[in-house]
Amino acid sequence: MTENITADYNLMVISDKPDSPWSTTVNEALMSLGKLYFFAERDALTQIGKQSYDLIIIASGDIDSDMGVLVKQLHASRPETPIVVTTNSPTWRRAREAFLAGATDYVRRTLDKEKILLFYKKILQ
Amino acid sequence: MADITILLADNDRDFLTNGREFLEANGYRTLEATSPQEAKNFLKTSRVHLAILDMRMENDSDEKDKSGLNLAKTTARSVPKLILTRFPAYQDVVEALKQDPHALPPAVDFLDKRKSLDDLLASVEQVLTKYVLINWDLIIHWETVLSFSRLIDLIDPELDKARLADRTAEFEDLWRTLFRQYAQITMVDLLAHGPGYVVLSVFAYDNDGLETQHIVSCGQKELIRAEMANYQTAVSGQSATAEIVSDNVAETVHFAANAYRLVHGKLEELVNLKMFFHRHSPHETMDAIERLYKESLGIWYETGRYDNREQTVRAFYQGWLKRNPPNPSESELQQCIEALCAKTLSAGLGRIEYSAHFLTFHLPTNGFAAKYPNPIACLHDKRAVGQDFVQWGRTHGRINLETALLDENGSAYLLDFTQAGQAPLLHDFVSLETAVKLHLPTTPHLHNRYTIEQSLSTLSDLNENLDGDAFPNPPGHIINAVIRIRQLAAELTGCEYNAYLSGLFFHAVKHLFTYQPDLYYTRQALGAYIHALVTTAVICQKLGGEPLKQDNLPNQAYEGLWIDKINQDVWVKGVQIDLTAQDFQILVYLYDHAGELCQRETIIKQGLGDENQEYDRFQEESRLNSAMSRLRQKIEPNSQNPQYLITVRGRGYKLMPQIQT
Repeated sequence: MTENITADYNLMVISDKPDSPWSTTVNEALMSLGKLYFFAERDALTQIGKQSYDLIIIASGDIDSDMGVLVKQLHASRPETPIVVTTNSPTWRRAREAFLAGATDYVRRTLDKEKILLFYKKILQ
Repeated sequence: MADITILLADNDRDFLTNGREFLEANGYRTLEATSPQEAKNFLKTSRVHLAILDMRMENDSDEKDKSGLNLAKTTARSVPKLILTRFPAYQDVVEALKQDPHALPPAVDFLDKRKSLDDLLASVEQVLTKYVLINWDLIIHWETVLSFSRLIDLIDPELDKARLADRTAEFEDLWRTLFRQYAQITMVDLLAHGPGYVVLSVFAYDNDGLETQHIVSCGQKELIRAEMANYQTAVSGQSATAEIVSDNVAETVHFAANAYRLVHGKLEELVNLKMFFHRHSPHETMDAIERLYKESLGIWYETGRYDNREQTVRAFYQGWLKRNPPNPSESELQQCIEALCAKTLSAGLGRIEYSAHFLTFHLPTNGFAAKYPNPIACLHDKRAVGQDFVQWGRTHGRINLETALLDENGSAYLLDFTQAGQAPLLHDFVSLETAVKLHLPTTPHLHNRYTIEQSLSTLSDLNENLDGDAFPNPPGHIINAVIRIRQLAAELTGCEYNAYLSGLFFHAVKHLFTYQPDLYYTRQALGAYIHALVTTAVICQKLGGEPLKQDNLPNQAYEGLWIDKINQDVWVKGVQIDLTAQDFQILVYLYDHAGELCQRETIIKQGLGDENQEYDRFQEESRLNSAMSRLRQKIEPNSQNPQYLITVRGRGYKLMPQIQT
């Protein structure tokens, strides 16, 4: 039985490569959860001050600046919003840095839409 | 001064030694564990502020060994932990540091063991600053003779004495965390306590001396967590009427605490219901009781009430008794009651004759004796007590003389939400009635306690009145309070009389369960147990299935007054009454002329048997008056308001053996 998902979440995705295969996949996978807002890293902090989001996804590796600093700033601005750091090349130091900065999770990226949907749906619920 | 204890757990003894020496040189106490089991024991039993766990605590060569991480995930989650490893992997970091919405993550940092001890120290200090929020400079002042160790004793009387020092220190950490933003707290009074917890009044002062007043529930962690959940469900949802608000919470491995702040009012002006009762008039007390139920609790009863057709009153209370030990077996209870009866006699409080089937209450004055069924039979007889279905809803669960504080105007502040939840709505009312009857009377004697119960047993409806003012105080004041509680129960819960009596029965049984034959009790405490026993017996008779009848007794013996002339026995409502020979003679004369006006002179001559003697009017009238007074004391439910032996003013007396309804 196909599950009809009706949700109205606001999801922020921070990536300087909105047209990358990963960004496209995430957009398609999560559109049933609500609205996805793609921002470049330089705009993210401004945008986070304007409205609240139910989830923030950071495409680490697709941004230039220090991921840990960005996570820390986002967390300070919206401590109640879960932040997930995604990466193609996970390392234990980067994982530690993300968590100490306030990230909720640190995951290796995938292009499997079903896995993406299940993963983020669980966080939102 | 900070008193931090760090647990170091590693199967590498060299690392342990170096680590211990380094941390102790930096002012920390340490505990060392060389295995996961040893570390687990320390975390569960000792006072530990931070744990440093090696990832591979069993076998450094086994890449699958995650014993340290597994320990962090499963034990003492309220203690922050660092994971150390020479073989860091990102998946392990995620597993260790991933956030948990309900608790600290399994670990709060993850370090490469190959780094220097200085790096470890830096992490330790960061973690302690962020997660161990103990105000070491908080001044704790006691205005009471209590202490933390005494409070631990109340919370956990079975605690192994070897652990007391550690547990007391942990308890103090809890308080230093709970009030970390203050400069001083003053522990004022113990307001209430129960198994596993205490409730205290605490005044807190900031650095400028500004005072805030708190009521703090603290004790065993799971119990206090449940109390906070109950509070959030029952009270904070009605924020417009909430008199106290949750101010802060704190937890350690074994304990938790909830600090509530008064919205209005001052703690020093509040008294519990017991003190209010003694300081205020009966009218003010009844007003306060009404406000307690209608204003403080009324909104609880209005929300989500329903007819529960799946669980009888009896089933609820049997579960309630099981959840609230002690729970003696039937034979243990028999022994307790037997011992209580013996103690009552030796204390000069009255005589209670105990047998397997009956309790007979002999009163120290005038030879009155009343026989009742042994209530243990009712407790185990499914047909007997509590087969009713009633309305359920949200109840406080522990309304008694301590769990409501009242101000001068009678406004109530509820304490102690440990037992709040879904229950028969009558639960809060029978709880208070039991507390009022058992613990407010200042006289412990059987006669006084029996008078209260016997008077109340003449009622047949929750709305029925009994004029407490007709009784001397006490128990008149107590009877008035009980009547008011019952009327409020009828109004606010709609419960039937028999269901209410069932609730009273089980509350009295619960009190009896706490009697310990090997202990010496004060007379006041004994009086409460005596009253509980009387309550169970009287209610058992009133409700107990088929009436427990003597062989060959006619129905009149149970319906009113009946005289067995052959055996010269007098029965009133199934209770055998002992009379002197003279009183019996008078009563028989009146009984033979039941319903007729019997003139005083005739009674004297016929009843006192002085027909042929010279009639000294003054002396004989005096004798008759005394005899009538004695008879009323023995046969009437309320001698001030006689139902059997009626005076016809200026003319004589009339006996009505069967009360007209």
